Amino acid sequence: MSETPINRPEDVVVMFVEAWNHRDPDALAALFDKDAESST
Amino acid sequence: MTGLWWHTRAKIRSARAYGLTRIFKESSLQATDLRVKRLSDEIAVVHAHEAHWLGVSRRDHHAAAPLERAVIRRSSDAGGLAMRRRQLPIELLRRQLRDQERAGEADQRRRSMRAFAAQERGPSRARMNEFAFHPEAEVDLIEIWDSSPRTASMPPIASATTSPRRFGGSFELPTKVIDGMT
Repeated sequence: MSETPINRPEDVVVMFVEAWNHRDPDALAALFDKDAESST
Repeated sequence: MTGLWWHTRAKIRSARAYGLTRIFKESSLQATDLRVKRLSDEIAVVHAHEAHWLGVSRRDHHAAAPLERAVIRRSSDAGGLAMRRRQLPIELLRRQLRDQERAGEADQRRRSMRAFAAQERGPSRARMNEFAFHPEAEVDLIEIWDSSPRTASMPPIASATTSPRRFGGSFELPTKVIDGMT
């Protein structure tokens, strides 16, 4: 979960990329709403 | 793009954990050409190209950069903003749109787009919520994408070799804000 609030929509995408490249599924999941939908 | 859909944060986490350790363990990801469209005070759409997936499953694989769309909303539960993410065959839709317009069939565009979208594996109409777009809205968002100027290419945002950083820092990127969120 983020330690500070995310204020810009684009930051969510940037953080997704960072979490991916750090192989951090917890950080990835924390970027989604509890009932989010995701496709691949 | 596989067409698989995951629902709920927990299932997304589980699927990503598998993918990151088994399928994409040697890949790196870049996001380029970020564009933001604010739909309301609470909801925004971010477009980006995700590119350079390398070393997928022991193959040196450099995939084409698909267009990603993330729907972002304010959420007290997830650090201020949270994502509802969809990945769409935007390039295919755009190509079909251009083909139709070139053939003088623009007046039939929305009907055919609806038929095309219905073939995709996605949420049923009954399961659609405010974050899953109606097929006609998809066409409108494609037009938004096409009408906004592209930004210059940018270097990788992060790589697997960079030092881990907890989230919450500031980012200065050449982002195109179509209708900026304050």
